[in-house]
Amino acid sequence: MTVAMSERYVQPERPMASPDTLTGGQVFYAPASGWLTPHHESWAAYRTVPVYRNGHVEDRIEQLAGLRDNWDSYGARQLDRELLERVRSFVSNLCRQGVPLPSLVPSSSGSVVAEWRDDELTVEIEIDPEGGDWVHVRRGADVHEYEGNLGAIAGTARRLLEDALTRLARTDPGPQG
Amino acid sequence: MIVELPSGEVFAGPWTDDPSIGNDVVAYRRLRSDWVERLVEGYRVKSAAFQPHRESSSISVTLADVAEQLGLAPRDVALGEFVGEYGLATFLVGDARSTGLHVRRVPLSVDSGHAMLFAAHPETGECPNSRHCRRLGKVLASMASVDLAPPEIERTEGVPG
Repeated sequence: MTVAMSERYVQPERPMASPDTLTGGQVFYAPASGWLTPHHESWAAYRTVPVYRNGHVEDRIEQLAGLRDNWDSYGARQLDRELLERVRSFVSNLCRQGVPLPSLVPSSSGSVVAEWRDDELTVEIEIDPEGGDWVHVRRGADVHEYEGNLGAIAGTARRLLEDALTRLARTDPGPQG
Repeated sequence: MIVELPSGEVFAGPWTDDPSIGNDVVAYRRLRSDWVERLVEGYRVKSAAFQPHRESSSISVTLADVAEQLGLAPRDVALGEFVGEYGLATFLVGDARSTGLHVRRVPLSVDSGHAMLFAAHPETGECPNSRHCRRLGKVLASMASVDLAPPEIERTEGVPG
């Protein structure tokens, strides 16, 4: 679905990174009153991402796809195309819920790290080609980490990540101008 | 475990820490521009900069002492053919060891000061262990400082890395 660039940025009442967001599937929207079932008419009103913001994601993914062998000067291989598609889907889904764009950083191990930082909060999500994903959430002195497939993240780790992403969405001023 | 290094050379171990390398030896790792964030004051090395190579399960660095013994400038040796393209992160071997990483000299034809950082599995002792090395590398990144900023760093706000 195309969103006009002139579309007004509307801060969602309470955007949540849903379980399906983490797996790149259907997007849910959770208001303060609780979770909704998948309901496109409901969350569509809160679409907040003008095309040009997602355009940056696409551009960056293409940059990463363009890295050739030895891109790190230490012999790292070209990044896996399926991994990059997973990154693109994951980040795009978050952006649609108002989470600001992360920096996307390649690593020599073949993974891509999505990173958000502000004065209080650091969130790093390393998406690994072999499913050994890694989540790091730091809020002040509190550090929480999770290692494993992002799609299987559950319990406390999931709640922490969702809370962190929700906070990022609340503090994002949205596109300027 | 025998690994083929990007230079085509082979390293067959031993996969143990070399205690003859002093904790005060300076080490360098080359930095891509998207591995560094420009802060209001100074720079920050991102965790992605210290992730193990997929094939060798280790992190390549250059130790400064070899260059110094040869009368060469350590930074020049560490940058090698990548002058003007990459920056340099620096830390002490003792910093790496304090995270749990092991250090071993693996001289290459193109870098006589080359060394590898690797980790043993915390429970089984299996070495090198890529997953544990990833974890320790992230810690080391937070301890490393930018010695030479790579060109074209942008302030990190959003996707440009």
